[in-house]
Amino acid sequence: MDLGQLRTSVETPSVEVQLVVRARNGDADAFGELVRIHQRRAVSVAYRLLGNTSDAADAAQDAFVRAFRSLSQLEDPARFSGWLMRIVSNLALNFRRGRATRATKSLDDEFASVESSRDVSTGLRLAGDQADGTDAARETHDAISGALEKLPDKQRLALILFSVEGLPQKEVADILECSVELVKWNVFQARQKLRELLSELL
Amino acid sequence: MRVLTTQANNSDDLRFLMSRSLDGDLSADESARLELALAASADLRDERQEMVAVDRLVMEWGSHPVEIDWASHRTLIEARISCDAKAETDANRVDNLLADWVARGNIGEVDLRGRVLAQIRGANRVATPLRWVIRLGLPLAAAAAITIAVLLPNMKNSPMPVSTSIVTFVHSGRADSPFASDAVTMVLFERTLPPSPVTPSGGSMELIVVGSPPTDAPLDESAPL
Repeated sequence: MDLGQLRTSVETPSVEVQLVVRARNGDADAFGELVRIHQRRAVSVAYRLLGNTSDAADAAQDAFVRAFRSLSQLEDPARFSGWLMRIVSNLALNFRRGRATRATKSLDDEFASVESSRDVSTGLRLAGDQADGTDAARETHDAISGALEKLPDKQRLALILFSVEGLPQKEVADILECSVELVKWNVFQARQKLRELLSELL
Repeated sequence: MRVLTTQANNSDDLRFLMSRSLDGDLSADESARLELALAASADLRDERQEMVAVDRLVMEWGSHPVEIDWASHRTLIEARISCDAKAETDANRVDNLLADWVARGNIGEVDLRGRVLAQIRGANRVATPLRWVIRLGLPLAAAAAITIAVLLPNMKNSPMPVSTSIVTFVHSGRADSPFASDAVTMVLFERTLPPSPVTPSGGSMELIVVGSPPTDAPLDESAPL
């Protein structure tokens, strides 16, 4: 690891804390920088829970706005990331629950060009689709999406945050507001259920 | 599809260890215990293989990056936050204006006590006629009854039949009215006279006003009801 990487890894939390403090004092530019840092993960987590990029983008957008409004409630600026992901997760899960009764939502113009080539069944435009967009790959992807949909919220969230997004167990525990042991147990339970649900693919 | 079997050593505890082993989360003791169990059970080894396969499938499923127009997404968020900030600033300005206005003492004196007293007096004014009826009408009616009781024995001796009735008029009191009072109690004595050259059909009526309240007495608004 060179000195530049080491400095970045050490300073990043501190820089983020400063940005949070500035944003809490009403500095919109500082919050804009926080958006830039966490935007991809926020949309990605929302997407893994919603299976639709349009909804995921909306949920992430709402989460950032809500986070900005509620910044004064964040006691420890160093925990901004986990706190934000908790907001994203909760909003995405609420979005999911409400989606069943909601009419099909039209895409924002801003996303129209990006969404034009999205997958019909999941609304996702995958980078890998260009290379391996075979029927078999698509079926496997849909089967896994369907199986994940059947998991309880906490198990699905724990598995996605830990196994897919690669967050540390401690951070997942922060987001889920539970112990690390419970995160491990939820991941285990999710894997067990997926073993049954995806047995034909194994 | 393979049917999974459960053996005595294939407990949830061992499966939990298998799951944690995928994450490199086992202590040395736990690793040794799991390896021992795996070495002793082919079913457990199969389950472990399946768990590894599930984990690989999930990671592959999530390995594809989500692509949206990140710049537009960020712009939308910033625009909404900017609107929020402006709305908050406007709200603060209104609050400040109100605070200044209150601080300058622009709120006029309000004679709340006077208003309440005026309301009470108004209520008294409405109740005054009824009060007069109770105060004067009833005693006068009683007096009339006593008068009748005194007069009636004498009238019984009269050769002419007598009928008596007590009438109480309640009047709101107009300045131009002959009954410029609130209540007038009257006792009517009616005598039936025999026909005469003057009154061929016979009969007459005498009216005796027994009492009435003062016509020009000022209303005492402060008096209790």
